[in-house]
Amino acid sequence: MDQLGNVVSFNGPLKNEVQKFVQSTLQRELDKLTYDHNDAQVKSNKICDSILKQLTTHNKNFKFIVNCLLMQKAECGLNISGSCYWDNDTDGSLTIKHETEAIIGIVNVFACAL
Amino acid sequence: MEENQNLEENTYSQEEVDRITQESIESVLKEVQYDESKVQGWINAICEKVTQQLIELGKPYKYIVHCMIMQRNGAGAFVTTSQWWDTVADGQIIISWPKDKQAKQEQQKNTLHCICSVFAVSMI
Repeated sequence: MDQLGNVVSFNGPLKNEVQKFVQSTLQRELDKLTYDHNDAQVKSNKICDSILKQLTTHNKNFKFIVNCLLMQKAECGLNISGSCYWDNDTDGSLTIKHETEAIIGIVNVFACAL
Repeated sequence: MEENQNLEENTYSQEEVDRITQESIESVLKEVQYDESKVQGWINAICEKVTQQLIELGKPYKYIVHCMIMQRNGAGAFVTTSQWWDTVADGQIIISWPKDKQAKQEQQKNTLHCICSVFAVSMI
């Protein structure tokens, strides 16, 4: 885990590590939860901040952007797309979706090398 | 004088990015109803338009354009972002379309909602 602190490219072992803890964060925060409009704002802020904190303790060679969408599970269509203008060798992104009975949570992590 | 000029060339303009994003969304989504087969095309068009115009600005920035189109069915949704970056040089714009006033004025039964975020990360 310590050796990941020095990598300069997001694609590779760092990405796998990030995937693991984003998935576990989403699982921990969203499982056994029902969608509450008042609570959702606080919840999504908490998820964002927690993931960002873990990212920055792992590696300081990047600028990070964490995007979290919490949606009530309903009969509606949803389309998401991202387009990035950056250095493909060092920069990268990750998208994780976690679905429970009542909520859909989607987290995007973008990393830009310094 | 020269220093000021350099500063202007190297920082991005919030208003310019705002204008670019608004115009791109308007041009693609004006007067359309949610259509499952066409949404993918719209969303790609918005992302590409915005990215292209941002690159044309010629500033030393990396850009991330993130676009979300959701069918309006009464479902609740929240989007939040957190960033770890240089708060002076880097910035973001988040546009939610349509604004409620706009929808009422045009008396359109809007069937979709678009949220577009643009992140600009400085390279220097």
